[in-house]
Amino acid sequence: MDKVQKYKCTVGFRFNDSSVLFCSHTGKTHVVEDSALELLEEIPEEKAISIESILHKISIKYPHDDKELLSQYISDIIKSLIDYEIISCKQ
Amino acid sequence: MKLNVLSNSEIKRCCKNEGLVITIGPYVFRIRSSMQDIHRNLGKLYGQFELAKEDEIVDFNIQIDMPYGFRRFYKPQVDFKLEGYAPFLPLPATQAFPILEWGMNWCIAQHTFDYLSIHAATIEKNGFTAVLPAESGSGKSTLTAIMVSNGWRLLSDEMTLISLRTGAVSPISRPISLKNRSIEVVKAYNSEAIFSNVVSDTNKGTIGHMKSPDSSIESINKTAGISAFIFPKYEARADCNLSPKVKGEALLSAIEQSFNYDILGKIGFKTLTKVIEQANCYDFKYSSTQDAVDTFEALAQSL
Repeated sequence: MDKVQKYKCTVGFRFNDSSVLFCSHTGKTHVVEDSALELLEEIPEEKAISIESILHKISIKYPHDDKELLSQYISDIIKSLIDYEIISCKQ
Repeated sequence: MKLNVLSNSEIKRCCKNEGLVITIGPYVFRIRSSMQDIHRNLGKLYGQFELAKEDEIVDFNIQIDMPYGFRRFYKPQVDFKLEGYAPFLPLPATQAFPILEWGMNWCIAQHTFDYLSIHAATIEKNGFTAVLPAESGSGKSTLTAIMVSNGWRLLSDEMTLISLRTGAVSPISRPISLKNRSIEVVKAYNSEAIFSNVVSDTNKGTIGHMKSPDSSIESINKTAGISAFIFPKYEARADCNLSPKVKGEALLSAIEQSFNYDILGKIGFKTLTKVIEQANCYDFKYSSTQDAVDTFEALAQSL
């Protein structure tokens, strides 16, 4: 099962449903949507956790949302965060 | 001792031999050149700057001269060298002073790691310090020249240095670089302004440098906390409009205009976030210089 871990990040200002975020791993600055930031808050820096457990945590927060759509949405955000090297993914 | 204690012939002798060593804010430049344009314009625009003491460490050893060989005579060219290395292609010899100014900007932009450097002007009045980050061609320098003609202190025209330790701006107060039509606009606005010789056909068009006010150079060691980030944009026939800018957007716009943000990493992010947090941020559109002056005066008085 894939596990993800967050790199050290610093959040700057929030604006237009987004936030400015600095990632210490890449040294790059990103603008991330609030939904991605909310997801990042569920991913720890100190240890890797399974994507399954993140999906579980989020689905508890949003019990009325369509499970399949929510899962697809979260997977897409995680993929983007991995691509931007804001989080890492390991087996 | 200020540079203006030297006569023109002493400036010439210094430049041709050991070099003229000038302190400009936190930096010390040694300038060597045998070109008359350099001697004349240094005397004209840098007269109020302090000559460095003998034991001071020189940060940048610069040489501006014509290359050897036939290009000294046929379509003469000029080289900018830092520590003997020429980072740019030679330019026509008529552009000797502009290449010195651009080269000095390059020296600071490429070698500054204890400041966050931003492509921005900074002006101050009555304790109100405005940083004006802007893309080239937005009218930043014209606005700056107009404001300093109205008694504002010039901290910088081209490059603003923000201390990573304190978040304050360290002045460099070098001459204001004006392009094309703005040269005539500023000359008409301030008939007492002192200019370098105006050089046409550069890759930026016609270039002229305006001398910084003496009072700005005298207070060059006085740092200033930032009151506002104002992103100016000149637009012909536009109504004057100062509108609040969301801080997140201001942060991104300032990052875009920074020379060394990518190199500084987290400390650059933290510094910029902190200073923007504490400042007011605005977009500023204008077409009339008088409207711009009135807007800035009102801001300075509201502090």
